[in-house]
Amino acid sequence: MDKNTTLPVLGFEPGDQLPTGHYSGPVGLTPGRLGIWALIASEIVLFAGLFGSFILMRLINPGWAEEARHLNLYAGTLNSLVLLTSNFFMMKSSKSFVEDRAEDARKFMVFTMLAGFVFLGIKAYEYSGEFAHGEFPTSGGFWSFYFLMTGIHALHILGGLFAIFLLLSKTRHEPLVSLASRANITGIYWSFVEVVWIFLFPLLYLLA
Amino acid sequence: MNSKTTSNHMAVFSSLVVLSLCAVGVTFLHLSVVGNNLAIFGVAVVMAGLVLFQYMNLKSESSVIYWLTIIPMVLFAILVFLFIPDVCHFSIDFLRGVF
Repeated sequence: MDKNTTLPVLGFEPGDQLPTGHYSGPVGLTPGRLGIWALIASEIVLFAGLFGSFILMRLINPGWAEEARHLNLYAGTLNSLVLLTSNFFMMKSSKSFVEDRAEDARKFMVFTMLAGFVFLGIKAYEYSGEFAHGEFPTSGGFWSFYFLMTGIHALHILGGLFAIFLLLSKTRHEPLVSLASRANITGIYWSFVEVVWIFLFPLLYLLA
Repeated sequence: MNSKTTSNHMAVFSSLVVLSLCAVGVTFLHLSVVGNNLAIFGVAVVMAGLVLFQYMNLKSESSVIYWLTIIPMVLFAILVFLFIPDVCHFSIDFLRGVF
Protein backbone atom coordinates (compact mmCIF):
# COMPACT_ATOMS: atom_id res chain seq x y z
CA MET A 1 0.00 0.00 0.00
CA ASP A 2 1.25 3.43 -0.83
CA LYS A 3 2.24 5.05 2.42
CA ASN A 4 1.28 8.46 1.05
CA THR A 5 -2.34 7.48 0.45
CA THR A 6 -4.77 9.83 2.17
CA LEU A 7 -6.80 7.66 4.51
CA PRO A 8 -9.77 8.34 6.70
CA VAL A 9 -8.16 6.70 9.72
CA LEU A 10 -9.27 7.65 13.18
CA GLY A 11 -6.58 9.69 14.86
CA PHE A 12 -4.98 10.86 11.60
CA GLU A 13 -5.51 13.96 9.54
CA PRO A 14 -6.04 13.54 5.78
CA GLY A 15 -2.62 13.63 4.16
CA ASP A 16 -0.77 12.49 7.29
CA GLN A 17 2.23 10.27 6.75
CA LEU A 18 1.34 6.85 8.14
CA PRO A 19 3.95 4.51 9.61
CA THR A 20 5.70 2.53 6.88
CA GLY A 21 5.12 -1.21 6.88
CA HIS A 22 2.16 -1.04 9.22
CA TYR A 23 -1.50 -1.60 8.63
CA SER A 24 -2.72 1.83 7.72
CA GLY A 25 -6.46 1.56 8.21
CA PRO A 26 -9.36 1.24 5.84
CA VAL A 27 -9.10 2.57 2.33
CA GLY A 28 -12.25 3.84 0.70
CA LEU A 29 -15.60 2.62 1.96
CA THR A 30 -14.95 -0.68 3.73
CA PRO A 31 -17.87 -2.95 4.72
CA GLY A 32 -17.09 -2.33 8.38
CA ARG A 33 -17.27 1.45 8.10
CA LEU A 34 -20.34 1.35 5.87
CA GLY A 35 -21.94 -1.00 8.42
CA ILE A 36 -21.21 1.19 11.42
CA TRP A 37 -22.51 4.29 9.63
CA ALA A 38 -25.67 2.43 8.57
CA LEU A 39 -26.12 1.44 12.22
CA ILE A 40 -25.59 5.05 13.27
CA ALA A 41 -28.16 6.21 10.68
CA SER A 42 -30.72 3.82 12.18
CA GLU A 43 -29.79 5.03 15.67
CA ILE A 44 -30.32 8.62 14.53
CA VAL A 45 -33.84 7.65 13.44
CA LEU A 46 -34.48 6.06 16.86
CA PHE A 47 -33.18 8.99 18.91
CA ALA A 48 -34.58 11.63 16.54
CA GLY A 49 -38.03 10.08 16.99
CA LEU A 50 -37.64 10.21 20.77
CA PHE A 51 -36.20 13.74 20.78
CA GLY A 52 -38.87 15.00 18.37
CA SER A 53 -41.67 13.46 20.42
CA PHE A 54 -40.18 14.91 23.61
CA ILE A 55 -39.91 18.42 22.11
CA LEU A 56 -43.51 18.32 20.89
CA MET A 57 -44.82 16.95 24.19
CA ARG A 58 -42.79 19.54 26.06
CA LEU A 59 -44.45 22.30 24.00
CA ILE A 60 -47.87 20.93 24.95
CA ASN A 61 -46.94 20.54 28.63
CA PRO A 62 -45.21 23.68 29.99
CA GLY A 63 -45.43 22.08 33.44
CA TRP A 64 -42.61 19.73 32.49
CA ALA A 65 -40.15 22.59 33.07
CA GLU A 66 -41.00 22.44 36.77
CA GLU A 67 -40.51 18.66 36.83
CA ALA A 68 -37.14 19.00 35.10
CA ARG A 69 -35.93 21.11 38.04
CA HIS A 70 -36.00 17.96 40.16
CA LEU A 71 -33.16 16.54 38.08
CA ASN A 72 -29.65 16.68 39.51
CA LEU A 73 -27.95 19.25 37.25
CA TYR A 74 -24.54 18.77 38.89
CA ALA A 75 -24.62 15.00 38.35
CA GLY A 76 -25.69 15.55 34.74
CA THR A 77 -22.87 18.04 34.15
CA LEU A 78 -20.35 15.69 35.75
CA ASN A 79 -21.61 12.87 33.54
CA SER A 80 -21.11 15.06 30.45
CA LEU A 81 -17.49 15.69 31.42
CA VAL A 82 -16.92 12.01 32.22
CA LEU A 83 -18.25 10.92 28.82
CA LEU A 84 -16.16 13.56 27.02
CA THR A 85 -13.08 12.26 28.85
CA SER A 86 -13.97 8.67 28.02
CA ASN A 87 -14.26 9.49 24.32
CA PHE A 88 -10.94 11.35 24.41
CA PHE A 89 -9.28 8.21 25.80
CA MET A 90 -10.92 6.12 23.06
CA MET A 91 -9.44 8.44 20.43
CA LYS A 92 -6.02 8.10 22.05
CA SER A 93 -6.43 4.32 22.09
CA SER A 94 -7.47 4.27 18.44
CA LYS A 95 -4.39 6.26 17.53
CA SER A 96 -2.20 3.84 19.50
CA PHE A 97 -3.59 0.92 17.43
CA VAL A 98 -2.47 2.57 14.21
CA GLU A 99 0.92 3.41 15.69
CA ASP A 100 1.27 -0.19 17.02
CA ARG A 101 1.76 0.88 20.64
CA ALA A 102 0.15 -2.07 22.45
CA GLU A 103 0.61 -0.87 26.01
CA ASP A 104 -0.88 2.55 25.27
CA ALA A 105 -3.76 1.05 23.30
CA ARG A 106 -4.68 -1.25 26.21
CA LYS A 107 -4.14 1.42 28.84
CA PHE A 108 -6.37 3.95 27.09
CA MET A 109 -9.06 1.33 26.46
CA VAL A 110 -9.09 0.51 30.18
CA PHE A 111 -9.38 4.26 30.95
CA THR A 112 -12.23 4.50 28.43
CA MET A 113 -14.06 1.63 30.10
CA LEU A 114 -13.46 3.00 33.59
CA ALA A 115 -14.92 6.36 32.56
CA GLY A 116 -17.86 4.52 30.98
CA PHE A 117 -18.54 2.68 34.22
CA VAL A 118 -18.23 5.93 36.18
CA PHE A 119 -20.87 7.41 33.84
CA LEU A 120 -23.20 4.47 34.55
CA GLY A 121 -22.48 4.75 38.27
CA ILE A 122 -23.41 8.43 38.35
CA LYS A 123 -26.56 7.64 36.35
CA ALA A 124 -27.47 4.93 38.86
CA TYR A 125 -26.90 7.43 41.69
CA GLU A 126 -29.22 9.88 39.92
CA TYR A 127 -31.87 7.20 39.42
CA SER A 128 -31.70 6.22 43.09
CA GLY A 129 -32.19 9.88 44.10
CA GLU A 130 -35.20 10.17 41.81
CA PHE A 131 -36.72 6.94 43.10
CA ALA A 132 -36.22 8.20 46.67
CA HIS A 133 -38.23 11.30 45.75
CA GLY A 134 -41.02 9.12 44.39
CA GLU A 135 -40.27 9.76 40.72
CA PHE A 136 -40.74 6.62 38.64
CA PRO A 137 -41.29 5.98 34.92
CA THR A 138 -45.00 5.84 35.71
CA SER A 139 -45.01 9.20 37.56
CA GLY A 140 -45.92 11.22 34.49
CA GLY A 141 -45.07 12.03 30.90
CA PHE A 142 -41.83 13.83 31.66
CA TRP A 143 -40.51 10.99 33.81
CA SER A 144 -41.55 8.38 31.24
CA PHE A 145 -39.50 10.20 28.61
CA TYR A 146 -36.62 10.83 31.03
CA PHE A 147 -36.23 7.19 32.08
CA LEU A 148 -36.83 5.90 28.54
CA MET A 149 -34.29 8.18 26.84
CA THR A 150 -31.58 7.96 29.51
CA GLY A 151 -32.20 4.20 29.85
CA ILE A 152 -31.78 3.60 26.12
CA HIS A 153 -28.66 5.76 26.15
CA ALA A 154 -27.28 3.77 29.11
CA LEU A 155 -27.92 0.55 27.16
CA HIS A 156 -25.88 1.99 24.29
CA ILE A 157 -23.09 2.76 26.77
CA LEU A 158 -23.22 -0.86 27.95
CA GLY A 159 -23.07 -2.07 24.34
CA GLY A 160 -20.08 0.16 23.67
CA LEU A 161 -18.31 -1.07 26.81
CA PHE A 162 -18.87 -4.65 25.70
CA ALA A 163 -17.39 -3.85 22.25
CA ILE A 164 -14.37 -2.20 23.85
CA PHE A 165 -13.93 -5.17 26.19
CA LEU A 166 -13.98 -7.57 23.20
CA LEU A 167 -11.41 -5.40 21.43
CA LEU A 168 -9.26 -5.32 24.57
CA SER A 169 -9.35 -9.11 24.90
CA LYS A 170 -8.42 -9.54 21.22
CA THR A 171 -5.29 -7.43 21.67
CA ARG A 172 -3.83 -10.29 23.75
CA HIS A 173 -4.02 -12.78 20.86
CA GLU A 174 -3.83 -10.75 17.65
CA PRO A 175 -1.32 -8.23 16.34
CA LEU A 176 -2.42 -4.71 17.08
CA VAL A 177 -2.16 -3.42 13.52
CA SER A 178 -4.65 -6.03 12.28
CA LEU A 179 -7.18 -4.68 14.80
CA ALA A 180 -6.76 -1.02 13.82
CA SER A 181 -9.89 -1.05 11.66
CA ARG A 182 -11.97 -2.53 14.50
CA ALA A 183 -10.60 0.10 16.86
CA ASN A 184 -11.57 2.76 14.33
CA ILE A 185 -15.13 1.43 14.10
CA THR A 186 -15.46 1.07 17.88
CA GLY A 187 -14.23 4.65 18.25
CA ILE A 188 -16.84 5.90 15.78
CA TYR A 189 -19.60 4.13 17.73
CA TRP A 190 -18.34 5.45 21.06
CA SER A 191 -18.24 8.99 19.64
CA PHE A 192 -21.82 8.61 18.41
CA VAL A 193 -22.92 7.65 21.94
CA GLU A 194 -21.32 10.90 23.08
CA VAL A 195 -23.13 12.89 20.36
CA VAL A 196 -26.44 11.49 21.63
CA TRP A 197 -25.61 12.65 25.16
CA ILE A 198 -24.59 16.09 23.82
CA PHE A 199 -28.23 16.58 22.77
CA LEU A 200 -29.88 14.58 25.55
CA PHE A 201 -28.23 16.58 28.33
CA PRO A 202 -29.54 20.06 27.34
CA LEU A 203 -32.90 18.61 26.32
CA LEU A 204 -33.56 17.14 29.77
CA TYR A 205 -31.51 19.27 32.15
CA LEU A 206 -31.05 22.71 30.61
CA LEU A 207 -34.20 23.51 28.63
CA ALA A 208 -35.94 26.60 30.05
CA MET B 1 1.20 11.96 13.22
CA ASN B 2 2.10 13.01 15.34
CA SER B 3 2.12 15.78 17.64
CA LYS B 4 -0.21 17.65 15.30
CA THR B 5 -3.02 15.10 15.64
CA THR B 6 -2.40 14.67 19.36
CA SER B 7 -2.61 18.39 19.97
CA ASN B 8 -5.66 18.50 17.68
CA HIS B 9 -7.43 15.87 19.81
CA MET B 10 -6.46 17.71 22.95
CA ALA B 11 -7.72 21.00 21.49
CA VAL B 12 -11.03 19.38 20.51
CA PHE B 13 -11.39 17.80 23.94
CA SER B 14 -10.63 21.12 25.69
CA SER B 15 -13.12 22.93 23.45
CA LEU B 16 -15.80 20.35 24.23
CA VAL B 17 -15.24 20.70 27.98
CA VAL B 18 -15.38 24.51 27.79
CA LEU B 19 -18.51 24.40 25.61
CA SER B 20 -20.22 21.97 28.02
CA LEU B 21 -19.54 24.30 30.92
CA CYS B 22 -20.71 27.27 28.82
CA ALA B 23 -24.02 25.51 28.10
CA VAL B 24 -24.55 24.93 31.82
CA GLY B 25 -23.46 28.50 32.60
CA VAL B 26 -26.04 29.92 30.18
CA THR B 27 -28.85 28.49 32.32
CA PHE B 28 -27.67 30.64 35.25
CA LEU B 29 -27.86 33.86 33.19
CA HIS B 30 -31.68 33.87 33.37
CA LEU B 31 -32.10 34.70 29.69
CA SER B 32 -35.49 34.65 27.99
CA VAL B 33 -36.87 31.17 27.25
CA VAL B 34 -36.12 31.51 23.53
CA GLY B 35 -32.67 32.99 24.17
CA ASN B 36 -31.75 30.27 26.66
CA ASN B 37 -32.93 27.43 24.44
CA LEU B 38 -31.28 28.83 21.31
CA ALA B 39 -28.00 29.31 23.18
CA ILE B 40 -27.86 25.80 24.67
CA PHE B 41 -28.84 24.09 21.43
CA GLY B 42 -26.43 26.30 19.48
CA VAL B 43 -23.65 25.10 21.77
CA ALA B 44 -24.88 21.48 21.40
CA VAL B 45 -24.79 21.73 17.59
CA VAL B 46 -21.23 23.10 17.67
CA MET B 47 -20.16 20.32 20.06
CA ALA B 48 -21.80 17.62 17.92
CA GLY B 49 -20.10 19.09 14.84
CA LEU B 50 -16.71 18.92 16.55
CA VAL B 51 -17.21 15.26 17.50
CA LEU B 52 -18.61 14.29 14.09
CA PHE B 53 -15.94 16.00 12.03
CA GLN B 54 -12.88 15.69 14.28
CA TYR B 55 -13.39 12.44 16.21
CA MET B 56 -15.62 10.48 13.84
CA ASN B 57 -13.72 11.79 10.80
CA LEU B 58 -16.90 12.57 8.88
CA LYS B 59 -14.93 15.16 6.94
CA SER B 60 -12.95 12.35 5.28
CA GLU B 61 -15.90 10.08 4.54
CA SER B 62 -17.49 9.50 1.17
CA SER B 63 -20.74 11.12 0.03
CA VAL B 64 -22.62 7.86 0.75
CA ILE B 65 -21.90 8.31 4.45
CA TYR B 66 -22.98 11.95 4.32
CA TRP B 67 -26.33 10.97 2.81
CA LEU B 68 -26.74 8.15 5.31
CA THR B 69 -26.50 10.62 8.19
CA ILE B 70 -28.16 13.65 6.61
CA ILE B 71 -31.40 11.96 5.47
CA PRO B 72 -32.50 10.86 8.98
CA MET B 73 -31.70 14.34 10.31
CA VAL B 74 -33.80 15.99 7.59
CA LEU B 75 -36.65 13.58 8.35
CA PHE B 76 -36.32 14.51 12.03
CA ALA B 77 -36.56 18.24 11.20
CA ILE B 78 -39.64 17.61 9.04
CA LEU B 79 -41.24 15.51 11.79
CA VAL B 80 -40.80 18.22 14.40
CA PHE B 81 -41.59 21.32 12.34
CA LEU B 82 -44.58 19.75 10.61
CA PHE B 83 -46.31 19.07 13.92
CA ILE B 84 -45.40 22.27 15.75
CA PRO B 85 -48.37 24.27 14.33
CA ASP B 86 -50.76 21.52 15.47
CA VAL B 87 -49.16 21.15 18.85
CA CYS B 88 -48.92 24.88 19.54
CA HIS B 89 -52.39 25.61 18.14
CA PHE B 90 -51.28 28.35 15.80
CA SER B 91 -52.10 28.85 12.16
CA ILE B 92 -49.52 28.98 9.43
CA ASP B 93 -51.82 31.11 7.27
CA PHE B 94 -49.34 33.98 7.52
CA LEU B 95 -46.97 31.94 5.32
CA ARG B 96 -49.43 32.21 2.45
CA GLY B 97 -48.51 35.86 2.09
CA VAL B 98 -44.85 34.98 1.98
CA PHE B 99 -45.03 32.35 -0.75
